[in-house]
Amino acid sequence: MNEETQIQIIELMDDGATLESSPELKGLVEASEEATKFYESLLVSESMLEGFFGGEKAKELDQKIDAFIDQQLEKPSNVSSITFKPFIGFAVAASLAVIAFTFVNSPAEILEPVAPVQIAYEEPAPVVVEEIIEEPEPMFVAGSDMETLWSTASQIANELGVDRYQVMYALYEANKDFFVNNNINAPRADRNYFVDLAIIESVDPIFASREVKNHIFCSC
Amino acid sequence: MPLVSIEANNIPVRSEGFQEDAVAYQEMLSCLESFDETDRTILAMLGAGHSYTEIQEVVSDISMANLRVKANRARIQLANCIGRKL
Repeated sequence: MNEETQIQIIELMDDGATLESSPELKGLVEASEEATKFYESLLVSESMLEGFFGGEKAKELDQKIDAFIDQQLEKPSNVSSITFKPFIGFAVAASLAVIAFTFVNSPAEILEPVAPVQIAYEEPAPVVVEEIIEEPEPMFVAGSDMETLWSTASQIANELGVDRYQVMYALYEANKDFFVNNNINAPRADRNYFVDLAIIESVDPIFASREVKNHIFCSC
Repeated sequence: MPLVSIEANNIPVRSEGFQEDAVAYQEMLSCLESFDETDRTILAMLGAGHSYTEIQEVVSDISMANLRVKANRARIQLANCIGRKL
């Protein structure tokens, strides 16, 4: 049996044809003993692929683990802890601004005697401003906003001018808990994924590509 | 000490077909080990239910037509390998 016939069988199966419903498929399969054996082997291999990488048992296990994680290992989101930083920075800056405005708007007779103190108040202000400016803005991607993890990784990679595997590797490494059973094929939609720019910049694209493909293959 | 029977606990003593499934999966994985990285990725993603468009995003620099040809050849190769083993 040649490859063309084998591909014809596969394409008919992909279109939903069965031996009962498709005379064409039946004709191809029953044309020779070799074709019949190939058809049977193909049914087995397709069933095993689905069963191993995405079958009902795998989904059921994923759901159980998902429920277990929700009940037992629920961790506070990284977002909440990090989003305090801007508020703290804002509070510090606002306090200093109030002090500075109070001081500037004070009557001249008060300002003159405390002129040396003015220097003492002004010194810390630039330091705090620098800290706020230098604070790197944490980057998150909401799982609910993602169509697929790959399309999101591709989009981020284009924006940053890096390889998509670097982004995918960073997304997985920084958010392993957000993948059901640590399975790269099963990202959760109800999580916010941290985009670790440090990992993206430091990881070798070839290494990242190999690791991501391995994770996809082993579903881990 | 009161004892509880297995029936009362409704504990399944064994899972039918589990070992047979495990052996079959092992044979499939040994087949896949001989495949190149791209073919393994394609088959794993197909098995996991990903679309060809998603697979194309992962296997970059490949046209859709070429991807489908590669996928079909990999599926044929896997079927033939499993047919020899089982």
